[in-house]
Amino acid sequence: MNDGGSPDQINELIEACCDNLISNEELQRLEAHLLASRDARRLFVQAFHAQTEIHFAIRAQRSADAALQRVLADPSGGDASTCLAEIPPRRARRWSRRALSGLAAGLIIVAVLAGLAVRFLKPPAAPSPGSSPAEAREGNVAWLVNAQDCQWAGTEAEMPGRDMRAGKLLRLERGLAEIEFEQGARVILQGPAELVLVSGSEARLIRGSLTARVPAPARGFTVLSPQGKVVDLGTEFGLAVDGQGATTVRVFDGVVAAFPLVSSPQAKSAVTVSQDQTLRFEGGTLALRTPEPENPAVQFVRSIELPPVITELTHRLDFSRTVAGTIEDARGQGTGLSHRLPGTGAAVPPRDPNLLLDPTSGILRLTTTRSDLNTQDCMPTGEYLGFRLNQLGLRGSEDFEISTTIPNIPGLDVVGQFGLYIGGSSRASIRGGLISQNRPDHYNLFLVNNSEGIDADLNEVGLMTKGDDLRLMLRRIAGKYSLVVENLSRGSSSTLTINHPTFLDKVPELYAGVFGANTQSDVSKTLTIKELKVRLWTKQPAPRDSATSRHLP
Amino acid sequence: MGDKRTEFSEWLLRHQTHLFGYIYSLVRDLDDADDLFQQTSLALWKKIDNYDPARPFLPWAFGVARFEVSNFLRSRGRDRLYFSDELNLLLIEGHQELCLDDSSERLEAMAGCIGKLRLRDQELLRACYGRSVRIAEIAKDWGRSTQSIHNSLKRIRQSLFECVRRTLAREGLA
Repeated sequence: MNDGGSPDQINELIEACCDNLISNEELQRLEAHLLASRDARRLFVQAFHAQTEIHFAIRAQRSADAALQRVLADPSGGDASTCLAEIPPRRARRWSRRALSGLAAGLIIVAVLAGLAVRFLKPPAAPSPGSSPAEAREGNVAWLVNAQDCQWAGTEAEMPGRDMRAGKLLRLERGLAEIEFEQGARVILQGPAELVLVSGSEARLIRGSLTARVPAPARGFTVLSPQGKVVDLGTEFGLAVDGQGATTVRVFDGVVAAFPLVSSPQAKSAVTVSQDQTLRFEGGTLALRTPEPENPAVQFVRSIELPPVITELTHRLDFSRTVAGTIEDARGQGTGLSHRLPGTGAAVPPRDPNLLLDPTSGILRLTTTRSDLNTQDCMPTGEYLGFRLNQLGLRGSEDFEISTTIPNIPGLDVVGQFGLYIGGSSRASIRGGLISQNRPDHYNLFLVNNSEGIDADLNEVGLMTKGDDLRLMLRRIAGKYSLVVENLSRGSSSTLTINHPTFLDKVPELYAGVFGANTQSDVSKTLTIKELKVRLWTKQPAPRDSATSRHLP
Repeated sequence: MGDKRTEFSEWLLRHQTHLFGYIYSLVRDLDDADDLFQQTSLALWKKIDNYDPARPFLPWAFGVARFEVSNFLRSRGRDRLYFSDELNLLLIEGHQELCLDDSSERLEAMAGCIGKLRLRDQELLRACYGRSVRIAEIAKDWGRSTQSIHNSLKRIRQSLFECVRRTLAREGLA
């Protein structure tokens, strides 16, 4: 962390303090800020107050869980309040450890525990039918997490990306898009479809089809349609709205409550739709069918599957040994990387001072250099290292993927970037990974084409921070390129696609690898690369039963 | 006497997170804060006859807590760096200015928001907040780097604060 007192920097110190990861030097720096600034003290106090609330909620939840178990296990069906007063959780044990005695201690324990436990045992509030669409307007309420063959209508600003706040209208012309809502529900939108994000737990389907998978914590997820609304009660369901607004609900698993907007008084209450049932409501009429009609009007897609593979060839570097005859690191050890992207690295010495192989730990350290494929800046010192795919078995239009794992990512200066590339030369490539932002230590995911040495079709989404562990995969599947970024720290993944780089279709030889560039600064940072792997799926005849795998020489 | 006990438990219940938060911000260890919170609660009960109910409870409680914390810090020696007494006094002001609503409502909102997190995030919170444990140990158990766990916690905390704020705003409490 730098010296100075910007709110971001003070927040970083406070966050480190909250997790007890602050060094003595940083603590002294924090104390100086706190002594000097009332605002800093306010931030600090708020942070520790929130820490306390989480701590109390977690411990009380345990007490509540224990109490609930007791209540449920009690064959006499005794009064819940009686059971709660008896809970002897950690806190009570800790009091006794201090050898506290007397009425006061007992009084406090009972008051604190009973008060908290009773509150937490209250059933969750039912979804409010009239909840305000604007309630989560300050932040994004959903994220695009997966996509296949998507074509979106509208301008770039209208596409899913950085702005996924409440009120956002998504217009998918074709393809499949998987969207994760803030509270955990996952929706696969099938193009053509139009969906409005209403909140972290609510969406409005204007037309088209979707399926929703709702884990228990997200129960209550609601989809509004022109004919009513569907409230999930812990399940997986599909919803389709046709051109006239008629709505079809299909439940694959669990139960949903449907609230049709019809005029007849007897239809005001909810209709329960159970597994394998289909409900259609249109113009005031309802039709509940079990099982599903033989030829359903709507085919729901419940998961985004990769196209099947036939035979897989893999070439994997785990950096656990030196490989003679390959690009050498600063000490002259063969790294296993066989080729540079043509047009890059011409001025890098044979023993690359920016590479350090550590076979004991199984890692390769790559220190970024100043270079930028966009405008071809400093190409002779650029670090774009990997393999020649034709040498690994690429003959034509086969599908392939290059992947790498980069733990504990460093913070690069603004526009600094690292990730994976596929290309014929520095003037014809597609590359993607992380690109740093104005905010220190923050990154967006990006994927960009580069034709004639100039970047085009840039797609930037999401947010990553310094220290995260990442796995990156750049693929060509069914001729289409995509980038998958798994954030191992967050347990999430994102898929990016852009306009197809037609210029690459004509390139006779393709190279793929990893790169690191501080594009507009001289501040180099070191990436830790744990693995670099190419998988290539040939279209040769394969055994009938399953895909096979073999390792390349 | 019975009324006084009831009143005292109500005061403590209403202000428990403020008081605990103050103590925790000074010692920065959950188990130490737990012990000191309990000691402070007992000290407050013993001194309850000195308390003037016409005055706010919290400043009085903070004063007693500061005394308990000071004793604790002295007993700890200098094996770990703590804030100066001057800053501890300033932080009392900061905590008093926090002006938060009834802590039980906030805790209820927080518990609800934790329940809405992904299961994996809930597990991480339980591991980190259930007891006093070093992040490095959690990182080792989870097979991740310390920085990666820290980043996850920052993200989870941020989403929880937003969720609590929205919940209370929806209920007209914020």
